[in-house]
Amino acid sequence: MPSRLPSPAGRFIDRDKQIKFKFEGRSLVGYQGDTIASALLASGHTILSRSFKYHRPRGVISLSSLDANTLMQVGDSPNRFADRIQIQEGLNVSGQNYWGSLSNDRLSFIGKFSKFLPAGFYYKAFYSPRWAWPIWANFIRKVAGLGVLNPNSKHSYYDKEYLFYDVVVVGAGVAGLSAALEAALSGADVLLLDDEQRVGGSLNWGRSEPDENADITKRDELLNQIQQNNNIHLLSSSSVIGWYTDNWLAVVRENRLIKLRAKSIVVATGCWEQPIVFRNNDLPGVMLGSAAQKLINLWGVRPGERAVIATSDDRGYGVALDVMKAGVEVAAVVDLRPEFNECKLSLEVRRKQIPILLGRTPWEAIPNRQGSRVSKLRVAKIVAQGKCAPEIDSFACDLVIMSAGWFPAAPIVRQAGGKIVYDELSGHTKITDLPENVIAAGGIAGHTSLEAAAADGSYAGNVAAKAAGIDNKRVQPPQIQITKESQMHPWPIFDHPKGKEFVDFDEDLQIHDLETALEEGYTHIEHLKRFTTNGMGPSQGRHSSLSAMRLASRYTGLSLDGTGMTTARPPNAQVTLGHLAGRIFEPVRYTAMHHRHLEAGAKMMPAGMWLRPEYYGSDNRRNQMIQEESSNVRNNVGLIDVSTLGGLDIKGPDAAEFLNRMYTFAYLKQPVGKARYVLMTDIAGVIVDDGVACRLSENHFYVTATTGGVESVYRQMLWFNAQWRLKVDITNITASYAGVNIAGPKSRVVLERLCDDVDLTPDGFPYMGVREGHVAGIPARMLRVGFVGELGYELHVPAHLGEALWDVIIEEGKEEKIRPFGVEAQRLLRLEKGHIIISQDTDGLTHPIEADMAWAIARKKPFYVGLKSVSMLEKKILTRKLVGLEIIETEGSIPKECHLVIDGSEITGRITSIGYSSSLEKYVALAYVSPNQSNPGTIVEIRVEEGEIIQARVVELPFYDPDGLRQEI
Amino acid sequence: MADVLKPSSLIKRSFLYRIHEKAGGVFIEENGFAVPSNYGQSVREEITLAHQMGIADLSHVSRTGFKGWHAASWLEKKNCKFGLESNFSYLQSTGERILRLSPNEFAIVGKIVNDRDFITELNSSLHPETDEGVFIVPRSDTNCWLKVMGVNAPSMLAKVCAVDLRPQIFPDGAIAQTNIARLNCIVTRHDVGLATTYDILTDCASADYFWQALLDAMDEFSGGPVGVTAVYQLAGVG
Repeated sequence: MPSRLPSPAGRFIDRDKQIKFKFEGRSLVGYQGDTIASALLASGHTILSRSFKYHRPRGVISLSSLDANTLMQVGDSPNRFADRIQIQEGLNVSGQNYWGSLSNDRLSFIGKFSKFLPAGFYYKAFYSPRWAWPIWANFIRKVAGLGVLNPNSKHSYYDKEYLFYDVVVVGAGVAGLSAALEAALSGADVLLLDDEQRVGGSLNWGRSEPDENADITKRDELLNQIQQNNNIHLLSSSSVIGWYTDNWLAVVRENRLIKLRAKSIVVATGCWEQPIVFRNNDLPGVMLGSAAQKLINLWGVRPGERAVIATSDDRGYGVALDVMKAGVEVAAVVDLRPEFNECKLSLEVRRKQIPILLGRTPWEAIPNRQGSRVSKLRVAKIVAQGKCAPEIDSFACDLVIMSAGWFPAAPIVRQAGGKIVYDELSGHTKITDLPENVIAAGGIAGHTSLEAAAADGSYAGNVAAKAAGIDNKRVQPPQIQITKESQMHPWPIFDHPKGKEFVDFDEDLQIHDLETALEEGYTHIEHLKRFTTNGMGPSQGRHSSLSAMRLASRYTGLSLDGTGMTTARPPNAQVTLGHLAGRIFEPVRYTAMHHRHLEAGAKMMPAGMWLRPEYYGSDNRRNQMIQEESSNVRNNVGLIDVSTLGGLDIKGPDAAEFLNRMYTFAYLKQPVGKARYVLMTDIAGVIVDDGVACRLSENHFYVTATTGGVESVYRQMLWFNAQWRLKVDITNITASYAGVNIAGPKSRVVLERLCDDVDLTPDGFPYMGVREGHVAGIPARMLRVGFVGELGYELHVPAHLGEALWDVIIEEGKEEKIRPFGVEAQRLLRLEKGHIIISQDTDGLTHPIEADMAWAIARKKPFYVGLKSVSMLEKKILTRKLVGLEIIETEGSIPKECHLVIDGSEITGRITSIGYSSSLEKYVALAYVSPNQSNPGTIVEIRVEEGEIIQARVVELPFYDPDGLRQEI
Repeated sequence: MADVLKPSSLIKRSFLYRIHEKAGGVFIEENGFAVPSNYGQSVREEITLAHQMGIADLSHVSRTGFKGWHAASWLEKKNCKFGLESNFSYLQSTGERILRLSPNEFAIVGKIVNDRDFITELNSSLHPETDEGVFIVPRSDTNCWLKVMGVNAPSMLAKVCAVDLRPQIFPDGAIAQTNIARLNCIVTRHDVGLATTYDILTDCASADYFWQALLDAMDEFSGGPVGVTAVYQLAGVG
């Protein structure tokens, strides 16, 4: 039974600060610095989770946030690594994936049927009969579910950060610390990253010498130098989740995603300790040596009372010394190697008279009566690769510590193009094929001793600084020393007749699962992975890929290198969708009068990035307000904010020629002081925008564009003139000008009070005239246009004066009952005039002919963008035409925009705009119909909701003031 | 007691005046605008804030722009001094800065005090009908002008901008035409006194959004708005 060691054990915990938290509803106490996992073990909890498939009890395996065994529900957040998250006061933690309780999971019976549930069984089951699938799906989701998502949980704050460094060192163990120091001493700007809260890597918890303080002393020395060097920036608790092209690293740190660019990178991520594959190697109490050392040295937790230590290299002897120090009785050290290797650690263990069994392996772990923990280990003699003699030694123990060697933690170098090469004779790995500015250092590069890793780190730092463009003196690379202490065992996999030798703990995969898949022909390592799901769990194959490669290699006869590894794709560590989304930026544009609209009770609506008043008033009076606003324009005077309309200044000697090419109409002879409608088509002849062009001088046009279209129009203009090379300058001045349209029969009266330098008489400032003057002392570009079909003036003023202009017009118009009107009223008013809105009454295929806008095409000019296409389209038979409709039946349903116009069984068109006209006292609409339906007087049918048919009559446009008398007065 | 200046009492209004009011801004008139002199703190406190992490609205200061195939030669005739390097800001002997955005495009930002004459004269000296190939860009209304200051400014901007703006990489006078918090911006390193400072010109219609986005980003640095009086003193002109 694990328990807390007395003080001073535990480098990471502060025993003066107790922290209460809840686990499975029970209150527990730990110390500040404890992870959830260490606090649970210190409290005697050995079962941390249930396995994914068979619901077997699982405890600590790696204690490195690398396996599913420590996944827990933490508050609202599922699948969190309990060996990474520190306890906090009031933290609420529970286990996952069980039915009943963690210690008594009713679903554990599934394990008894494991023979019938081999890898890939789900590809062959469940699909027949089809009616059964929903039942299976429901069952599978219940038994294989992990944590629980709370859809109502509060959204956390995430953000992003962009960082740039000469040299980034990933991993702050002895190699990483040495690399960072050397690179910084060369003059490089260095970022040192480590995913642990405290840097130092294995120096924090490992033992490379009989002296238990040797490693931590080395760590303190290096860290002291790091902290005194201003060229090094240290970020702990930072996980590199991916390497991307040009040394772009994605790093997760707390609630932040760091986007990091490095001139060169040193990867010093060390190695992952590998498990031994034997029967019941997944029982709680069976753990890796590094996990046991972390429990003892970092958190002061005694991992058990009586231990057997199984190792394939000299480090296992260091583990033995540590567990003895923690008061654990060591029953035996089981060394998988056939011969004793003399080193300081093994000699010290022998000196302490611990039994050392050579050439042997754990053969079977026996659970206690409750099945909750190992109680005995059976040890067998290795007689051949994966084969054991029948003689068995048994050791009573509650702790089995295993290590089959160390494999490079190399996702980053592999993403950067590196390869892990395995020498089967020496049991040694090395990294090849890396680009010059990515350097692997330390354990990952095969330097397993502290001295070698430190030397290699320094060399890597030097090379990295050079690769970052720093002119430093090159040092010589250290030679890799092939020693028995750094060998991996060639075959730590031992088939047991009764199975349950787990290769992949996350996915509950046993040896026979992989062998079955190989028998079925999935011999390629990528196929083997996908068919079995080996390496597809949270550990991503860190503890299982090597065993899978070995099993595949044995089956195919290929070498390990020939067998290859599966692709190492990002993310390398746990990352949330919140990290990827980050701080969501949604820019919004306000007109100068925005707050005046809010103060007037406007209901705002988005228009591109802008917000515009839809109408003024409460939601429940929407239609009434729209009608009132439009009636006021027809009868008195209204004011609308048109600042969002696009504004483009086209200047230069070729300005008129440029417009002549960009738009369908003719502009070469447009008089100064006049505005002219502009219609833009693309090269396919499709209508893409409209507005007016105001000729302010011979070489200067002020062109308006639609709110949503101006950016595209601007880009198109720049793109085309890059080819035409006309002497013209194009400037998007949309934001520079605030604009209002004062419209209605009394608009002139109001404006006359405010403007004394422009002749506002009908002759002095006629319809479609353009003037520059002042309104209430504010300089203004003034346009007499008639979008809403009334006498009206668009006033465009510098943006910072927009609000003052609005204020003064509202004030001066009170006598004439001026009131603001919104976009909906404007839409209704222009509908009455039959004016189209681009992208509402047109779509991605509409050309000028079918929109009945042939009048806007200048026939005599040789070119405009889209001319050729429009000419071709004109020669084709027209398939639809935009017409005006008045709804005949208004007692039943009223058609809506996009309701279909039908002719018998044929769909001939759709409603594009519709509204009730108070002026006309009827519903009017614009709609596409077939050409044979387009003659005035034709009755067409519109299919509305529920299939009801409504009749409408085709009428001449415009509906209102057909002679344009009101707008031209 | 002197009358309290209300921004809406003047016809020139910053896009941010309501935000300044809500933040406790005490206004003075500059260039016809009501400008926050301070936000209820002492000048000393705001200078301290500016040295750490501050933001100021200088949208009232005049600025203009010229572009076109003859813009460079025209500006030289107006005694403007600048080099060939684009994306660099050139300090004029009179205190204004010419931002060369490309070989044929320039933005000109005024001195933070008493700046009107130079910009006004420059604008009015352009005669479109005779000065071929030179076109004015109305920067005063296209862009708001925010000044981001303090030792934490590079770290704050690193959260919202993908360009490396650290002082050792982005020297005084350097310009980045880039994207901050998804808005197009012209960023100029222009230190004020001892404070690391970035002048940002961006879409005036998005000034409200942008100000809030930067305040959010500087929250972890305890940053906040700084009135113009502190900025003037930092610049040695107040």
